[in-house]
Amino acid sequence: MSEPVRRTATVEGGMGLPAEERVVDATEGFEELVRRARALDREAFGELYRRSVTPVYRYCAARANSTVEAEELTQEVFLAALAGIERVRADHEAAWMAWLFQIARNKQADRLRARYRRPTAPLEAAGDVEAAGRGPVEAAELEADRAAVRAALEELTPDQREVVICKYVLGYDNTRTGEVVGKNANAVNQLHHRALASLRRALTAGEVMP
Amino acid sequence: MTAERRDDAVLALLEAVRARVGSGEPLETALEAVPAGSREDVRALLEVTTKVEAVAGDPAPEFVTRLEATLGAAVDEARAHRPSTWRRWRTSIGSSLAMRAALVSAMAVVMVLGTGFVAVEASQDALPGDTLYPVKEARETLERWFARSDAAQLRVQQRQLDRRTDELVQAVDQARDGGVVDSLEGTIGRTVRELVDRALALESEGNPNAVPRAREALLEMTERLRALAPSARTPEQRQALVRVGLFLRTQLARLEAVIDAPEGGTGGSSDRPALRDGQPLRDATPLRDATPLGDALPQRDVLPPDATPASTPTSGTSDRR
Repeated sequence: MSEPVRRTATVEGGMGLPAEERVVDATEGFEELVRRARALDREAFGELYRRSVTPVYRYCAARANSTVEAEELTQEVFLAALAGIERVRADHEAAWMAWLFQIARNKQADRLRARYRRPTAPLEAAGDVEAAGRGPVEAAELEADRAAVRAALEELTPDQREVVICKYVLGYDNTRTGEVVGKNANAVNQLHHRALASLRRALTAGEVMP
Repeated sequence: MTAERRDDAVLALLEAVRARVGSGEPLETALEAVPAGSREDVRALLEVTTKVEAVAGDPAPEFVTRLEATLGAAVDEARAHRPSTWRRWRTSIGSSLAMRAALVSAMAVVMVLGTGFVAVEASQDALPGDTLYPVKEARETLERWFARSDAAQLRVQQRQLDRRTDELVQAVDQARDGGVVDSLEGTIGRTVRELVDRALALESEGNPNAVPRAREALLEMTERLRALAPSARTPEQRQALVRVGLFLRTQLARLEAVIDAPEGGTGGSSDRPALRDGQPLRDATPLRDATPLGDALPQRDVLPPDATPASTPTSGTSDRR
């Protein structure tokens, strides 16, 4: 029997361990990885984090008002995942991601409720202008476009919004999108088309003002 | 073409154009492959999807690294303060008031039932004067209470008479003091009298089985006491056995009187059931031919025939009929 393939993670200082100690068996099954993470294995949880941080961040950013808010949401999602890791039963990556997205939806809902109770101006967006490294005008236009898209996304039904985010923010195909939203391929197609039609009306006719 | 099919077709065209643009083909060139009737739809949808794609970027590497370090520390913290499996289980149980109440109730029931069961089982070998003997008596009281019909009462009394005999055998074997045997003598006297009274009552009510059964029980007890007699170690034990034996004779005589009564007499019946192994009751060994218990004992211990068990009144034992 051949030796299992092992790789060394290259991210410096990840999970606070030296690079040479961060060894992950690339042939290890996802279920085994989740089982170790449930046992609070630091390296296993770190590997799950590295595999899922980008989609989770993009998912959060699609509805967040700013980079800061997206980062806060992402952090909340992973801390909540750690707190509930003992309850998760994910034998494949799609199930794990679906669980994380569910946490993200709940966190976003909490924030929206808090925002409605205590409205605040999105001052944090000002930080994005400088961070983007663009000129003030260009950055402001980009942020205005993003805000318009976010506003249009909020007008969609939850299922339509999930489909659009999965397909165009996360780059998932119909099958993977169906796993996240819990719909079959036909239902995903219908939601997809209706969502695009609504977004088209909203964005081109100026129905939604940021 | 239905609207749904047209939607599917537009989506397919949109995906195809996106793929071509993604592979580096200019947008206009990619759109030329789209049928003219759908081209503007696809172009508009392409703009929408491009805007949606731009709504979220990748996370900054510094953020990814910082959060990874934060989570690593959080994992260590969680592991350090992780409760034991038992504690987690206890906490999850204890977090629900209803669950806690149910658990406490269940434990109490288990303890009561468990303690009761153990006590009842342990009391089976108890003798008068033992701590658990009252438990045994209580169980027998319940037994009598649950026996509703007279016939059932008779069966219960037979079983209890067997137990008294067992206790007497046990007391003699263990050379218990005279108090235990005296107490058993009194209890046996009461039980035998009740058994005979009930059998006679049932006989008078037309039950032909009661007297033969009672007689069978008394004969069996007589045999057991006869076998036990040589084991008696003290004069008090021997005298107690003789008194019980004589009392059994008087009670058997009451039953024999019914059996010997002429047909048509009170409770008499010509079609009595067989006793055992097909032996008719009338052919069974009559009391007068049975060996008296006293014959198994040394002559010095044999009491006069009019002796009665201790604490058992003799009046009314033979005048029922």
